[in-house]
Amino acid sequence: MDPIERELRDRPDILDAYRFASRRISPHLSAEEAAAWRAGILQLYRVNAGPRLLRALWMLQARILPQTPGSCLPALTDAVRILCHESGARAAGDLIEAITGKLVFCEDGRKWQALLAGLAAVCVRAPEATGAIASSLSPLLDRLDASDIPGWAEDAVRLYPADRRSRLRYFALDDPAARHRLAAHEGAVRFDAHRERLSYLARALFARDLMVQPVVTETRRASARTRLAGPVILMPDLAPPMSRDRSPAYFEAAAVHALCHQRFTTRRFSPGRMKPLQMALVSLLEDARVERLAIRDFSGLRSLFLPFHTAAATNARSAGALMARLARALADPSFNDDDQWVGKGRALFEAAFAETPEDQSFCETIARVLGHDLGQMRIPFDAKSYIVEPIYRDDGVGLFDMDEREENEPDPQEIVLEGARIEQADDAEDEPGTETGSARHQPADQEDDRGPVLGVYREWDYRLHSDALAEASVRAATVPTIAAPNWLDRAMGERRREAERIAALVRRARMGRPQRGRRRMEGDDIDLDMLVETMIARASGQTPDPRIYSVKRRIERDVALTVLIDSSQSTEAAVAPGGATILETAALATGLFAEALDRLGDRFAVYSFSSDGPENVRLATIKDFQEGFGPVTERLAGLTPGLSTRMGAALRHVSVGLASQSAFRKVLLVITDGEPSDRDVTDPDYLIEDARHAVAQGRDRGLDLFCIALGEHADRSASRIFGRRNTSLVQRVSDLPARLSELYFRLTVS
Amino acid sequence: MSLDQYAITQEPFYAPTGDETAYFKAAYAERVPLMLKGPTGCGKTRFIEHMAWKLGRPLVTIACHEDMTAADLVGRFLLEGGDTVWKDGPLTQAVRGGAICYLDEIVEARQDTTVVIHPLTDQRRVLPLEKRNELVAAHPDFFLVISYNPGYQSAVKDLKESTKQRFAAIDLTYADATLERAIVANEAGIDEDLAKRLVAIAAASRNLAGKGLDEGASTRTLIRAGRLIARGIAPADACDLAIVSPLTDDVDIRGALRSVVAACL
Repeated sequence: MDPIERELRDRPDILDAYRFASRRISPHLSAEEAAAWRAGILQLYRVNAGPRLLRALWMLQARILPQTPGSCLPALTDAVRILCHESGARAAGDLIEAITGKLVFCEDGRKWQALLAGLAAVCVRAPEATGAIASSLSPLLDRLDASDIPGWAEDAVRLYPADRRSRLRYFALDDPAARHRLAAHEGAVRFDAHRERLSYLARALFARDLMVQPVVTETRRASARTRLAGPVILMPDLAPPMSRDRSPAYFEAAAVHALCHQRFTTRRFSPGRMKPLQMALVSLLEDARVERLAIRDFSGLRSLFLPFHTAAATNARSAGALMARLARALADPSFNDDDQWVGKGRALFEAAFAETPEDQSFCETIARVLGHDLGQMRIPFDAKSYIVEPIYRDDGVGLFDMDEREENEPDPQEIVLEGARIEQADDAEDEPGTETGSARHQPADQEDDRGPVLGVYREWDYRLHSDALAEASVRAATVPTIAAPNWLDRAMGERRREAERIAALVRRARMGRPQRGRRRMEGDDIDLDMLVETMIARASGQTPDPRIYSVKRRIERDVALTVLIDSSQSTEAAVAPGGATILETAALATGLFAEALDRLGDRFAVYSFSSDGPENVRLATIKDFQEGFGPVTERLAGLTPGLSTRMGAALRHVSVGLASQSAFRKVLLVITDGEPSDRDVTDPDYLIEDARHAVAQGRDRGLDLFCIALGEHADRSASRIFGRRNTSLVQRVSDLPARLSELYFRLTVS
Repeated sequence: MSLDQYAITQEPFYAPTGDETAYFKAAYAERVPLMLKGPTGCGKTRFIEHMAWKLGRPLVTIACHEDMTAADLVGRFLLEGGDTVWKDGPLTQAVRGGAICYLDEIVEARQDTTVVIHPLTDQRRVLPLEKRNELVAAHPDFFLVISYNPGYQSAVKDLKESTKQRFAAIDLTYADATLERAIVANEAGIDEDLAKRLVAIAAASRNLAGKGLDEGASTRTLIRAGRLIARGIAPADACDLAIVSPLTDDVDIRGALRSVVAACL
């Protein structure tokens, strides 16, 4: 006896459903598969699945089975068992029912199995995910592949590992982070991910600039088509529903097809008194013609386009199906279609193309003939529901010169447009001011006390391993200057001893010292001392040292330096009771140091930073690379402590500037007295890890980054950010003026 | 001293793209030092080999590099047995023996090195050997040619004005499509149709020169790709090996170039 039947003896309600399901499912399974399926069901039953979940699951399994290998069922059942065990039968039942509601007839169920298995792994740590995703499944599927949803859910667990309420908001798509992550996961199906690559491709193949305006839609639409608008291509922002790995080819085909038109459609067709059917045929023929012409130059393009032609030679005789087949017949020489109309279109096109491929007017002639024939065959053409096939082709509207249409006739643009359904293109045209794409996200410059934005940098979130979520704006801050002579000039005058020591260091570091290398295997001159030794060795029968040459090299000093001073609130503290503050000491050290650098001729820049939240990382330029030494002390003297320490963004900004200098060695020195912090951040590791990431990015750009930590406390976080070896601890802040220059010359004099 | 080892015995294949052969002959007759300009792999080296063969002169080629010193060009003292012996550098050999001396990619050498050629390039035509205290008068047949790739130009690497103006310049470019096809087919031993496709790839990549790439694919890379294909590598893979991967590390440009390769093959 079937073990399930035995177990379900006392549950007649479930037993009936099971018998029914078994009758529907078993025929698709082999004996072993059926046994495995039953074993899985039994386990599921034993975790208290309940009648509703079991029925829902059987329904789902029965519906996907014809197209899904039977061996998938146990894995699917197992995933549901985990979901049921972790999240309860009710939530699991909701999810299965939601999925069943999304099933397409005759669909391969493996992607749903992948979804359930992925969510099973997530719900172990976030049991509420199952029910929450059941309710937001529909909007999620509009934008993601089923198999991408677990990855998106996983992000919630990483983002809020211990905060169930936040996770619930995330799963319900109420959290902005949820939408950010959604955008990140759907990235590949967005045009923007391909823009760079396709721009290069356009330039390479057609020597043209690709001008694309993405048309933003909320969901992926199967009916979305590109449209030509003069030199601009209106492109669906989201690829139509297709598997994720196909979208690069889709955008490529769509862009190349549009470029073919721009290259080979030399004039726009005059719609005259053409009927919508004729216009659709003209654009179909012209599509084929321009692709042929491009393939003549680049034969491989054919294999880019062909996979999208999926129309099969069936008996269906609707206008749309016939036209899709004609499109395929014109593109694919190996496509067999016995239909007379398709055959006639093909023959006419081939003959005309062989004769005058460059002449686009033959499309109009053939379209008239074919349109007439279709009318004779009594096949109706519904302009409103017609959609250009295959999917990558433009909607054809841009090929016609609509201006010459007379006013009182029905506007064919509207007709074709209806069919083409590029939803928001019209809105964009109506309001020429609204730009789609990235420009829209630029906030209007706000009139407030914040300075102009110098740059926006992504922040690294160590919990998410991603820099896609947060960004920080670096803004210009002004430093009040204190006219010379000021306190700093006086303090620098008092520090004669340090100044002299630094001057000595400078003399040693002076550039372009010739250096002699001795004992070389090769060189410009003979090293006489070595030569004597060698001769002696030979005379006394020993093995001579062959390294008898010397080289003379100039070691040229080629260094660019940036000093970044932390001017946050904590630098207000006095170094010694009643003495100068930390920031004043740092300013003094930098002043002496800058004076020395100026004498030495090293290029350098000095900045100070503080922050007031991610929108306002204040960066004050005390000296940039182009400026002379002149106003440096006046500005250094004017530095005032205040606000917080968002180090990562400041580091990124000055790194970019330094990296663009052409120098053999590029050094970035940071002087800080404490660990990064800011008013919006509660996790102390967040800004430290972000700064660490910024340091790594700087190193990737070829910079040497060092930190001077003032005090033990600063040293702990600084060594995490910059690494033990690249952090120098100055215990007594009053030593800083001497130590700063010392450190620098140790770093840069070989 | 014999310059036999530098003699070119077989005619190197070279297909002229313009009047450069006539220009070269005239400059040689007048001993006007020449500078060959042109993008990488367009055939500068092959052209000079061809001309040396045509003129029947030995060709001393020196590939310049950053660490090259004046001594590497003019020569140095070496030990031989118990004696120190002066050994002429390649430039000095060419000056004495009347060869064509070709300094390849001269901008790569440091500027203080390149000034040693100055006395050779004006009416003095001498090479001073400071260490030997000798002034070598150039052989009447001695001829100096340098090559120079303007694509590399930057503030850091450029010829001194005083060096530049001592030379007459011949601008070489890639051959036009038909000729380039013939060159690639001939050099790589592949059929014309495949060569035509490779040339189309190169033409497309050259559209990106200065707009993502420093330079497009050179004739030389096409020949390399062709040879790999002739060896049995699948064409797309060969193009990846010889053309796309060496050209750039940028993901998007690579993606675009792979699409170009797919479109052309």
